[in-house]
Amino acid sequence: MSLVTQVEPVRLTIENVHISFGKTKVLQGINLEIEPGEFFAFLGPSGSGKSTLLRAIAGFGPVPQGRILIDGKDIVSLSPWKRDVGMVFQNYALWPHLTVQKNVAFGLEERNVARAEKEARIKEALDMVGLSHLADRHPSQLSGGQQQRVALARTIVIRPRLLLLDEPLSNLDANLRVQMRTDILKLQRKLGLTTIFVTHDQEEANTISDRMAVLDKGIIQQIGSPMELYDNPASPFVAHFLGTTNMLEGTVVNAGKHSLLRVDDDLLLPFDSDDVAQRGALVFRPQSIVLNPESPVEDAVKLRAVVDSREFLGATVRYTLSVGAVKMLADEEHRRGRGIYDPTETVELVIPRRQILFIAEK
Amino acid sequence: MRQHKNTFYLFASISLSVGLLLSQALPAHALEDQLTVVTSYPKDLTTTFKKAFEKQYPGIKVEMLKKKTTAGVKYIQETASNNSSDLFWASAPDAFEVLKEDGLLQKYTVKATGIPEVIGSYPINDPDGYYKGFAGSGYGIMWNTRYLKAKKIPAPHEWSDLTKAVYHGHTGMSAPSRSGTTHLTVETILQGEGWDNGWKLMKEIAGNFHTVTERSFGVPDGVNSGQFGVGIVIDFFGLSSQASGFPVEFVYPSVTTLVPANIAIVNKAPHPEAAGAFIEFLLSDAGQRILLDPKIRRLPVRPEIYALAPKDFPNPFVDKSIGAKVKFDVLKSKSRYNLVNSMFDVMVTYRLDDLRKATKAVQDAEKAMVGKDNAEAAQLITEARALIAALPIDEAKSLDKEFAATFKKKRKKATDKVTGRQAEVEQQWDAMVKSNYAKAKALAEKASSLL
Amino acid sequence: MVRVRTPYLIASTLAFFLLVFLVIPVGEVIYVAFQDSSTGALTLINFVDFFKTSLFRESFVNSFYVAGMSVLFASLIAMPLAYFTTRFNFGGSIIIQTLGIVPLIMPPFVGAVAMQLLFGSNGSANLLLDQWFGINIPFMEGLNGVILVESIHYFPFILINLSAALNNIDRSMEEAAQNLGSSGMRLFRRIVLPLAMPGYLAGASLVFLKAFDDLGTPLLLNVNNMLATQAYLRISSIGISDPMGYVISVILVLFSLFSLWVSMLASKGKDYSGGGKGSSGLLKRDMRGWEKAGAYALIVFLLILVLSPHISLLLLSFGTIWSYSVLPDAFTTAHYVEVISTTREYITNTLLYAGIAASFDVFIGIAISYVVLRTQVIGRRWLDYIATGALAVPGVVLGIGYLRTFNDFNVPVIGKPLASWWVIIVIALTIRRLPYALRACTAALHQVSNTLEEAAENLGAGKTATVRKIVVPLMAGGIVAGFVTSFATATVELSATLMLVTAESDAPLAYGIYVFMQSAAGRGPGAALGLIAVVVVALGSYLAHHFIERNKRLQVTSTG
Repeated sequence: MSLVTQVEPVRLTIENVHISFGKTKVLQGINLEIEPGEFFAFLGPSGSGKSTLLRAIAGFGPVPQGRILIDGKDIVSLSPWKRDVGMVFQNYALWPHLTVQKNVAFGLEERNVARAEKEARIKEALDMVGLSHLADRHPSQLSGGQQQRVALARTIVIRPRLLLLDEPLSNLDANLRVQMRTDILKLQRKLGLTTIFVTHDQEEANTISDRMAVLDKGIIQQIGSPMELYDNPASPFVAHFLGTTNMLEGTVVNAGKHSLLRVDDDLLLPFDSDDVAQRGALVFRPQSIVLNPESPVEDAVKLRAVVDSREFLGATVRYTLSVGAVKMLADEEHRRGRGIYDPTETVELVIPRRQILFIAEK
Repeated sequence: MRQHKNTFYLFASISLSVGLLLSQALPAHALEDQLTVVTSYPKDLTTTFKKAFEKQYPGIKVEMLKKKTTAGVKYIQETASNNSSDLFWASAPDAFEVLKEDGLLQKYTVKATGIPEVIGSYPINDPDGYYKGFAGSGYGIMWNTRYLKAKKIPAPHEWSDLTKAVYHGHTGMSAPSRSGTTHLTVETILQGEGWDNGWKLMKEIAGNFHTVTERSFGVPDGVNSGQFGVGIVIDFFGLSSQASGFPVEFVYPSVTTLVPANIAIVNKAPHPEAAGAFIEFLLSDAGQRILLDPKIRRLPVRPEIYALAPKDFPNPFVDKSIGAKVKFDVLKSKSRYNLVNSMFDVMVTYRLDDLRKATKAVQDAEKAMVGKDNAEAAQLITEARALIAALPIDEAKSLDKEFAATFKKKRKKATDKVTGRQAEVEQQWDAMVKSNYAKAKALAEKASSLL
Repeated sequence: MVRVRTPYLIASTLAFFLLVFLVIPVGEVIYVAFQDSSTGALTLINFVDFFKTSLFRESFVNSFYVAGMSVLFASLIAMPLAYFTTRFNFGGSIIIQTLGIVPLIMPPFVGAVAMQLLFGSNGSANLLLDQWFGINIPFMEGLNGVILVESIHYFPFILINLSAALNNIDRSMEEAAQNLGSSGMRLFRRIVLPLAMPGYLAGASLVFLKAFDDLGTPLLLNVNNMLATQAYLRISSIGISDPMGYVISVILVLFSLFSLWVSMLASKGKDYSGGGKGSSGLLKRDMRGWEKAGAYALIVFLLILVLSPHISLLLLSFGTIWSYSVLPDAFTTAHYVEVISTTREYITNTLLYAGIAASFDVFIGIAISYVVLRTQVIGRRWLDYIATGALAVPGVVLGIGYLRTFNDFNVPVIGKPLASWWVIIVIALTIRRLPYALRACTAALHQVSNTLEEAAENLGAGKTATVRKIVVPLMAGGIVAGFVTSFATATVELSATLMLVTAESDAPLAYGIYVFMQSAAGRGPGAALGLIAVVVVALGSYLAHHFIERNKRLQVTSTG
């Protein structure tokens, strides 16, 4: 009678979903397919609609247009309490008048689970989150991390078809957050639950999710694995949102093979792309730049740059450089004893061509 | 210490400044002659007299302070040390007796002449000269015609009618402890019928009560709205209700009690001159004539005024059936005033439910008895009736000064001693009454079961 | 030095006020309860008598029963109204919430008469029932009537407090339960109600207290076997100085304080409101067609029930003769003409008195709540207890106490006794209604975070400036709620004022209604006067709410 054997992972399909609060459109044309057992993240800044989408899956908020299907069955018209979609709320929403035990028991009692089975499942769930010893406490007597675990236990104990996590780590301090996200991931893998995780923190999304959808202004910007999205952002927004990047906008001078982008009067940069566009941006990460290379770099753009300023970040040193009037960021790996460049120093700035991505303007 | 002083000054200055502010905001009271009358009379009466008096004495402004009789007495007692009332104007002589005893009234010699000594058998004026009667009222029965018609109940005409089973749950009266005039009615019955028979009649009537009202006006109010059908009320309540258009009628039973209406000057009245003028006005021809107004409707104490009255207006100076049967003993009434009130409350007001249930059981048994001959049942019914009528004390005890004092302990001096506590005595009575009513009910039910 | 002294200065001013206008006058009256009536020595024998007397024991049980049942019925009325209006998208929520307050303003005397005409044994309802089904339901007989009137009269206390509590619950609390499969009544019973419990208890304890202490209702329904009526009957009887009335008063005060204390204990540590870090603010749900129809039907039924005294009052004020019939015989505006042409001063006096009293109440309420919650003054809680204890002092006791205490105190400048100056009526109203304002202010101050004050002080604002510029504006909602409750209930206060009116020209409306209701012809005008009071107070309350809302909006626009 283990939880693990009980869960049959489901597929979630979202088809052309639109949601409005009154006249304000919050989500538009959302299409998404989440595979059984997948750990999926909704990533986006606040106001992007990611929480609204999650709540719509749970059945909260305004009724969406479009379809939300679990294993092919539309759940849009189902009441929240008939969906079997477990959700962990951002503030945990533990009921202060009930003990940990009672909080966890709640969903089972609503389902009229027989007493013996109920107790066994509560124990199992609390064991899984390591809180069996606190079963008789009230929520106000628990730390933030413990509350988070209770909320998780309360949700998984009902064997939900889907697990929804709404910014579950945002109320925890930094150390706990790292610990908690590994624990959540372990639990998800153990249970095999199809899981959706909402966050505004790209590092969280990167480390934990199999795939993710980046949302902005109510629209899905891009879907893919964290690395795909990091390396091949489909839009300037995605590029910026997933880590620091250099982005140089300009006019395409010679479309097709040997394309060039005019960034400003004095700077023309080559790129490879099949895209035929009038304008666009070149995107490359600061760590892709090599400064004063010790050995020659093949197939690279080479520029002269002046150091404006530097920041010591520990593992790396981040330089702000001027190439003429254009500013760029470059990260150089730091090791003991390695020299650093001072402001006003002139350096050679090298960008390997395959690190440069062209994003056409839409 | 300084803090306390500061606080006090702060408070004083706040209240002073607020006071100044407000006294400017409101019209200041004129310092010209004025008159404050504490009265229990309804607006119709007070306003009419106020207007007529002010017309005759344009310099005097009359302030009518309406309070229930009991509250009026309390008010005068509590404010005695710094009295601002001139006249106390109400019906119940007992209220005046209480004030007199407390030294809160002032003697006044009436200048007006031509007013007889008694109305019915009741002395019009206080023999000691403190309060004066200016009008009389008769007690009677009022009923709601729609109510009686809908419930197919005959209209009552005599007190004894009200003991009949057909009126069970349809009548109402005020309690003597709540209304001085009601007290007078009860005392009149007790004196007229004798202590034992009087209480017996009273309880037989009370066994049919729908309600014992808290205010004397509660009775006409209940009859007017149809809450209950029949009420024992003072005549002007019944007649003024009729005059206001309510579907009610009023009769004097062949034997009625007569209640005088009184006025007295409060001790240390700030305006004794105006107060005297008001009393003289009340007793003057002009004042007495106002009493005939259908909205006021009291019996004048000046016999010649009756010549001006409408045809069916009762005249106690001619018709001796009104209030004449009983030679009312004021001293007797006074000596056991609180005791009678307390007895009525213990036996009727507070145990109305029990009394009603017992009465109903007896009435049912008697109804079942009709046309049957069952000595045992008849005996049970008689016993039940006797239990209902039984009294915790006899008349002698009611007149025992020391015992009555339990109900009226007002220690004037620290050396005064009173024995017994009212609560203690009432509890003994209550225990007896409650168990008697329960027994009576059981006996009557047993009688019914035999039939 | 100043920092330490100021709170003590304020606290002692408040204590002085309460001492002079509450403790001493009440003490003056009720010390009789502790006096041996034959020797004048201090004794507890009267209390022994009380518990030995079966009538008093019965009265105690009746009062307790009535108070308990009133809470139950008031809850049944208030809960659906509060729940539907706070949880669902519901046309007319504001109207329902506003109408829900109106029953608090039940003019004395006429209210009971109106109820009798509708629900009495021969009232409209029973006449119709008799005509249609041949039955008669004793709605108004004995304790039933008291319970019915008390629950209709006082349920707004639960409605107001419960609505506020429901609005304060973090919405995720309910969503989490729904997410785990809970809905409908189970959701309400297991999650919503427990979370709203402090608010509910605050309201329910007020209902309990008021029903337990209320004098007017049982008196007008001629129910004698209750504590408040027993006390009143014994205190106000002519010439009797039976200590029992005062014994009962003492017991009323003590029991009321006890029940307040119990409700405080019960809600201790259960304050779950606020604190929501995540999704606060409620998303109202939509209802399905039939659900909506059912909810509307229930609400309309409840509103008709709770407004029936006022509907009846309306009929009475426009009716000619209404006697043993379903409706008045005919309709007229004559009563209004009479009232408006002859007794305008009752209305203006009332507005003046109730207005000043309610203003003092919020002023004192803010001061006491501030001293209690924000300072370390020793014994500060006693200010709260004593002021709240006023709730339990019967109006008659306070009235007589004032007459005794202040009759010999001549007010300078105007040169007459304080007891016969109209200001004493205002003070009596202030004391009687202080508990309402105090509760509202305390609740409001609870929700103002300490850090907001610290921020102001950190930026150089002194205590006074902080209170004036930061604390009071943030408490505005609670202050207005307190003002409205105090004001509305003060306008119809009778028991204390009846004792203290010394001149007709100074008399408030309740006295005017009393005078009218003493004569057969005065019933219509009395009802008209009562209805005018209700309308004026309702308008006043509405304007106060409107004012607050506008102020809130202004604050939002100026900062954002």
